[in-house]
Amino acid sequence: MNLSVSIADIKMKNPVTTAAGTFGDGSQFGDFIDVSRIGAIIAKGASLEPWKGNPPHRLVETPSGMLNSIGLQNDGVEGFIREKLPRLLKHRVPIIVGVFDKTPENYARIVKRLNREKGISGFEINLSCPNLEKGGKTFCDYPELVKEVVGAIRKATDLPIIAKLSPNVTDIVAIAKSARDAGADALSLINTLVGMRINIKTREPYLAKNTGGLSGPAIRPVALAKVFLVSEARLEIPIIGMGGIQTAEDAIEFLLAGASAVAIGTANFVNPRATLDVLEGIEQYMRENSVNDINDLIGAVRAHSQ
Amino acid sequence: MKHLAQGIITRRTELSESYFLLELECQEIAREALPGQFIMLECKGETFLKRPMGLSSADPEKGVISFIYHVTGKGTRSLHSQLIGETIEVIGPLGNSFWKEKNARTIGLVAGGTGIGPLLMFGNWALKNSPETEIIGFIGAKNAKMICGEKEMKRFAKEVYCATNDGSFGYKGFVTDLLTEFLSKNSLESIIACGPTQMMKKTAEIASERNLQCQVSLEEHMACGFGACIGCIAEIKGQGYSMICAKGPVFDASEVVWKESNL
Ligand SMILES: Cc1cc2nc3c(=O)[nH]c(=O)nc-3n(C[C@H](O)[C@H](O)[C@H](O)COP(=O)(O)OP(=O)(O)OC[C@H]3O[C@@H](n4cnc5c(N)ncnc54)[C@H](O)[C@@H]3O)c2cc1C
Ligand SMILES: Cc1cc2nc3c(=O)[nH]c(=O)nc-3n(C[C@H](O)[C@H](O)[C@H](O)COP(=O)(O)O)c2cc1C
Ligand code: FES
Repeated sequence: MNLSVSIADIKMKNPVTTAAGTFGDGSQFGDFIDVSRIGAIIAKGASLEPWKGNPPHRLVETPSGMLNSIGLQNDGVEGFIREKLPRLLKHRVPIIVGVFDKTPENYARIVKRLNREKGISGFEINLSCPNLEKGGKTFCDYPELVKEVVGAIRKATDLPIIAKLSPNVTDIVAIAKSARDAGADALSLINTLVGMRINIKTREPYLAKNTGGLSGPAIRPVALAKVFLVSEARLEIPIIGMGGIQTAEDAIEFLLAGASAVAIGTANFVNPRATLDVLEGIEQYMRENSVNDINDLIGAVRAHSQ
Repeated sequence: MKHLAQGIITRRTELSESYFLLELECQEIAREALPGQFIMLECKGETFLKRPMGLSSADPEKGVISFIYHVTGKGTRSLHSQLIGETIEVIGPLGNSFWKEKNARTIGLVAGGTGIGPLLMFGNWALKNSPETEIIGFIGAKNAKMICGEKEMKRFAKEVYCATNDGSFGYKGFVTDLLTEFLSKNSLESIIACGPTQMMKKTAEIASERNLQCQVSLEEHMACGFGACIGCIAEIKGQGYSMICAKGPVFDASEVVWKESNL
């Protein structure tokens, strides 16, 4: 039975990875699972300088999910290299490092700095950040801004780059195209959806930032549709699917819709074994359905003709 | 070591109005838990996230842990409808623990609401491991019916004082006013507070004015409970935002930057 998949040049022994910002440096899960069994780790990564993050409350529960406004708290790229990277590399699985900042130049500088470190398999470019040079417009909302950032990073590294897109856009296929045209090797779909909750006793929003990112099973159907739409557009670019995946059944839906790999995010919080539960469930599904190669499932949805 | 385990509900005891002690058979956690540590508890029903609950006891021999809950929202309501013998998923033991200050012979425990739970575990631990320690308990509640854990605290404390907002039992006013009054005539060498953030903030002020060492067990909304989401932060002096679940929940009160936003 073959479970291995490739995301650009990144060889994964199985299609299960972790969603950025939900898996720490992996060590937080060491008591619960053998982290080395995961196909790859997508780590939150870093901005150029340390970011303090948002004040509390940073999270609140929603029906079948949660809202968060962590504010990308991190120790900056030097702090990441010093503290987190060595711990990530210990797991002996491909490490994909998240990159986020406020200007295209900064994105490129982070990647250039990380290029000098050994053991990194690729970069995931989180494009859901406001661009300080363009009046705070979020990069991933505009094809031309996506092109600018991805283009700047492309010039800065030979390692695979994965553009992480937001579902909060009118035409995700257009954004996906501009990321590919600017040199992205793969796509991560999807980041969180903008959401809100208000405490009716105090009349204050629960989150200090008023709104936050919705994640968890609540967003799964949205995520699945985005993966399907981009996959249908035949852009010839691999997709990592994510958004509310909790079980192997969920993951297989994403593979069928066109994802070459799946990332587990919020589910890790509720069930720290979620990654391996999904992996073991996929193996069982393949055995029961005589699927010998996981790649036969990718994009194998029998979509109704329109 | 942290465990993802199944707990079997073995007993539910009503301690006071809408305050309950729930006992769970859960060997893995009972073997290792320390006073001040907490668990993340599945609440079934319409909840998605697990809920943090401070442990009120852990008996390694019997393999039983317990915590005290107060029925407030979705999670605790659903928990309250679970029957004896049913199984719930728990993660634990989590976080750091209370510590006993060297040379602190007289320790004041200040409890508000369900904060009594972890303080009971500390008191019983001290009784066994540090019998020379003298414990003075302070319990606050809205009214007489909601005073929780007085009887349990008397098992290890030299004295227990209660305060109610409406004066229906003990001192009339906040438990922190009661503490101030106590300290005007008596002394303590160390204070441990667990309860609503406002109460802990006030306790921290009282301690700091008198140069008393003070520990507080902080609360914040949590998604994971084991350091993976960075959701549960408090501002700690010189360190920026620290994760309450991983670096705490117990902090030296003098290191906490108290703000409106963490109330
Ligand atoms: C370290 C720690 C220990 C705790 N120990 C106890 C305990 O021993 N007994 C007990 O009854 N409660 C305890 N709490 C609070 C508890 O986790 C629940 O949040 C609270 O009981 C209300 O839950 P609910 O689902 O009924 O309310 P809901 O309003 O339905 O909760 C909705 C969401 O808000 C969060 N939330 C609401 N109130 C709080 C709060 N005060 N602190 C943190 N998160 C909150 C919930 O966890 C949940 O994610 C503790 C919290 C922390 C952080
Ligand atoms: C607490 C939290 C923190 C996150 N941090 C990041 C981040 O730093 N970078 C990023 O690209 N995505 C981040 N995400 C988004 C996830 O990686 C993922 O795209 C999204 O949550 C959908 O997947 P899920 O429903 O499985 O969590 C975060 C999500 C959560 C819940
Ligand atoms: S609750 Fe997730 S880091 Fe503390």
